[in-house]
This record gives sequence, C-alpha cells and structure tokens, in this order.
Amino acid sequence: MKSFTYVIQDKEGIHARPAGIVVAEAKKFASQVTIENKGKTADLKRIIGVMALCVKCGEEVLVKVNGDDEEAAAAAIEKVFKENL
Amino acid sequence: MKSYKGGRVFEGYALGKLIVYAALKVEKEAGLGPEKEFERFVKARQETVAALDKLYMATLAKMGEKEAQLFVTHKLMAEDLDFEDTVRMELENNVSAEYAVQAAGEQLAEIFASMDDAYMKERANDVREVAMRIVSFLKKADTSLSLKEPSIIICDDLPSSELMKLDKNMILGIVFAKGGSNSHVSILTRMLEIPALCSVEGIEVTPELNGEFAILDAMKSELIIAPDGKMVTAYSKKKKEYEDNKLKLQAFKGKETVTKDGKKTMIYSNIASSFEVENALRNDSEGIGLFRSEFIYLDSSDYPSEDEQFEHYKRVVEAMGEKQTIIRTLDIGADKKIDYFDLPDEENPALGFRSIRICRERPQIFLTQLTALYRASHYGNLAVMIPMIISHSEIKFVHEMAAMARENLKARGLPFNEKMKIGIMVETPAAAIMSDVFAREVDFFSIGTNDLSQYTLAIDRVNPNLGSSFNSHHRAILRLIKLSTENAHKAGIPIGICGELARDEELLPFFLKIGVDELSVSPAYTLSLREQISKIDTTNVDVNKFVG
Repeated sequence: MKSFTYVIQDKEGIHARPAGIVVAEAKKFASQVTIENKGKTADLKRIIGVMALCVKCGEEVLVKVNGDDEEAAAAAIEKVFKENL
Repeated sequence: MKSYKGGRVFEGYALGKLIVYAALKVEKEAGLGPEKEFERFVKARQETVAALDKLYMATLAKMGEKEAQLFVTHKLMAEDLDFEDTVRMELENNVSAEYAVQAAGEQLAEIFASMDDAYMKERANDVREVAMRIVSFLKKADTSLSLKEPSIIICDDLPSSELMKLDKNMILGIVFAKGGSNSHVSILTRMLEIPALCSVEGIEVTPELNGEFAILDAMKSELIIAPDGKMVTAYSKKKKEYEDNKLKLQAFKGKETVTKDGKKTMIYSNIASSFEVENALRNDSEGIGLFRSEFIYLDSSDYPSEDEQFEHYKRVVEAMGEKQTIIRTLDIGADKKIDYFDLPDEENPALGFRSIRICRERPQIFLTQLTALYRASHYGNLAVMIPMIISHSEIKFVHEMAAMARENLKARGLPFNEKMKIGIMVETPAAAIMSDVFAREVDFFSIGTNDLSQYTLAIDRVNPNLGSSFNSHHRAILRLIKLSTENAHKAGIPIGICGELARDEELLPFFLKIGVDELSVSPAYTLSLREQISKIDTTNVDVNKFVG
C-alpha cells in the first residue's frame, strides 16, 4: 500500500471542479484509492462521496492507494492534488 | 392584466402565448422488476454520459476549460457508484427506473443540502440535475419542452441542455423567473439573441400559465400577462419598429465607420467580462476599447494568480483576433471594494487611494497583472491602458514595471509581444493639461468622459442634489478633450473616447471634427452609432460652437 498526506491550499476546499479532476485521475487506475479527512473515509473514485467529505482549505487529507498499480497511481494522484488543490 | 418587473438577459420584445417549463417530476410507479429496470437505467446512463461529453466539448469551445469542467463533474456524478448503489436499493421496491433515479438523486442531494457550506448546498442542484437528465433519457423525448407554435417560455430556471435542444425559431422569448443573468443558460440565451428576463419579482410559475397571452418587454424589463387589446396593438407597433430598425442597421454590418464627407473613425466596445466578447463581435465592433479587468478581481476570493488572469485575457484576445483589444488595468478604490484588498474606508473615495495609486503602493499586484497581460499579448492584438494617471512619475513607474514583466517572461522562456502598446486614460484634468508631455511617453490616449467630467467640474456624478448642475457638455470638458486630441495627434498617437459621452448625439459632430480616432460604447450601440456617423458631414461643423 502507498499513501500520502496533503494540505488543501485551494480557498474553496475540494469543490466540484477539482473534485472532478482528482476523481477522474483516480479512475484511470485499477488500485483501490481512499481519501480520509476528519475521521471519515471516502472512495476517491466516487465523486459524490469525495465532495460529501466537505474538505475545507487548510485541512489535511490522507490518501491511500492499494493494488497492482499503486506506485504509479499514488504518484499521479498526488501530482493532481498539488496542481489543482 | 398583471405586470411583473425583472432583470434583463437580452433586449427586444416578444408577444405570444406562454409555455411553462416545469422541472420533471416522476410519480411513484411500478416497474418491470429490479433487473429489467436496472438495465434500463444503465442504458439511459450511457446516453447521459455521451450527451455530457458532447456538452463538455461544446462548452469548451465556447466558454473555455473552467466552465466546461462542470460537465466532467456531472459525468462523474452520473457514473458514481454510490449513486448506482442507491438506485439499485430503490429498485428493490419494484419501482420504475425513472422513479428510482429521481429518488436516488434526491437522497444524495440531501447530503449536500444539509451541509453548512453555502457552496456545497448549491451542489445539491448539480446532483438533481444529473439525476433528472438520466430520467429524461429514460422517458425519451416526451418529457422535454416541445414547441408546436412560436411561444414565450416561462420557467423557474432552464437546464442549458434543454435550451440547446429547442428550435430557436420557435422561441419568441424566455422568462427565467428565478434564474440569474449570468447563469450558464442566460449566457447562451444572449448568444442566441432571444429577448429574455430573469429574477422576476412576485411571479409563481404554475401550469395555469400555459397558453396565457403575454408581452415580454425586455427593454423595460417587464412581463405583462393577459394585456388588454390596446396594449397589444401598441406593443406590436413597438416591436415592429424595433425590429425594422434592427434590420435596417444590419446594412451597416461589415462596413467601415465613415462620415458623409469620408472621415474614418472606429467603433470599439466597452465590456466588463470575457463572455461579453461574443456580444461585441456579434454587433460588428471594430475592437475592444475598454475591457474592465476588475471583474477578475471581484469574482475572486483572493488575489487572482497570473495563470488565472492570463486565461481570461487570452480568451478575449484570441476571440478578437486581428482586432485590437484594450484591457484596462485594475481600477478599484473604496467605492468599488474588494475584501481581500483590505482598503481603509475613506471620506472621499473618488479622490482617494485607488487604481494606479494602489498599484504603486503594492507593486506585486500590478506586476502580476502586467505579466499576465504580456503573456496574453502573444495571442492577438492586445494593448494595455492605465487608469487615473496624473503625473510623469506614474508613467515612469508603469514602464519600469512593464520592463520587469518582460524580463520575467524572457527568463521563463515564454512568448510575448515585446511591442505591446501601453496607453493611459485621460480622465483627470491633470492628464489633459499635461497631455503634450504625456503623449510623448505613451502609445495612446483614451478619454474617460465620466471621470473627466466629475473631476473637471468638481461635481459628484451620483450625488442626487447635484444632478441638475452636472453638465457633461460643459465647455471646460470639451476644451480638455480638444486639447488632449490635438496633443495626441501632434505626437503621432491615437486617441479614443470610452465614456458614456462617446455616443452623445449632439457631441458626435464635434468628436469627429477634431479627429477622435475611436469611440468605445456598449456593444449594442455599435451599428446605430455607425449609422449616425454616416449622416454627419464634418465640413459643416464649427468647433467654436462647442468650445468657444
């Protein structure tokens, strides 16, 4: 399993647009991807769940990637977080 | 007869029968069993995703990545597994797929609706819209609006996809009773040039309105339901005159702006946001004379980044192509407040800490904007205009910052137009009086008549007690305009007028006689102004009558 943490920089938090971008990225991979925030976990391939976490600016999220392509998936997803959030 | 006031989306008149568009609502109904209904759902979802893909591409081409991204989010919502699970659960009750999808959308929308966050609350509507889109595919075409005769559509709000499906010739007008003038569907309505109103006060959109005769006056922003015969006659006449005039003006499309005696000038547009470019081009504007960059700052909750600004500027510049686009740098002050600028309250904001004065104190903001502008200059014919100039030292500061912006881009290896024109607004008496000197230091002038008038006369334009003393035809103002124009031409630079006065019927002969190179007005006035100018013979104009 691979994991990384990231502190959200976007003033609006994880709102619809960047949520769409990270979910689309996660869906490119076979690995299972989860996102944790404030004690709640969501599947990073499910946009409604991700948005329902209501992650705000300045909050930290923990992303866990589990599966055959976890190495590549974690790197790609982390990059997308950095670029869009 | 009943009349209602609203906001304008697009001008014009419409007379005809109302047709109500109400959001779909599915009653609970039995289905063909969970498995069969689930298959129907999967098929409708596929169709929805394909439709959203198309909508994404269409929006990308028209509006850019930021707006289009919304449809990617919608697509992900349609394919969302939580959504699918919820639909499956609903289907266990042997209901139809339509009902299950609506119920699932409602359940998930509730999650968002119950959040404290205002932005997230809004997202409930996204989930509902996606669910209803799937329902509409399940129900096939019979649920969407179908117009059998030309009608005025009335609705609380309309999904843009619904509008795009309709035949434009069947739509006389649209009333978005609860919509805003900058919603996606309103923007599309303007592009289609359909007379329309939004945010109408006191009206309830119910099926009873179907078939009612109505008058939509999108000039006065009024909706009149069940008017009397006299009114219908009067409005039919108004509508005809308006349309005849519009048609007559079409003859001036694609023509040069030239006076009867052959003097050429240009008609540019004043715009305040990037989507208004469409409007300018549709009205055959010859350029953008004033693009107020403030909206980028107003729409933002923090200083907009260079990339963000660049995207906006590039979109305008690219859309205008060969035609010149003049973007005015940040012009805010205590009267046009933006929270994150954290500006102190002032007794006299018009004479206070504003525009270029803020930029001098906070050069980083200005440098970011100039850098973004230079980057955009690579994509078309861009010029930059600086507001509120009163002194040589300000112009010097602007040139220094511009040089820094160029250095910055060179170091980053990004392309830009080294020779991008930089001009100033002549909107203070100081600038007009010093125009002989300033004309040698900048590439062009643009007269802001609103501020030039108020600063010259020392009269607050918005003070209701002074309204009658405010005379924008005052000879002092006209003398300053004449002086600035002469000095511009002596130095070989062009001069434009971008305030309200630019289309003043009485002053037009004066502006043309002294040789103003460009008049910048709201896009809607372009053709009528061109027509007016074609009738003026400047050889008969006596300048002394205006300034003597």
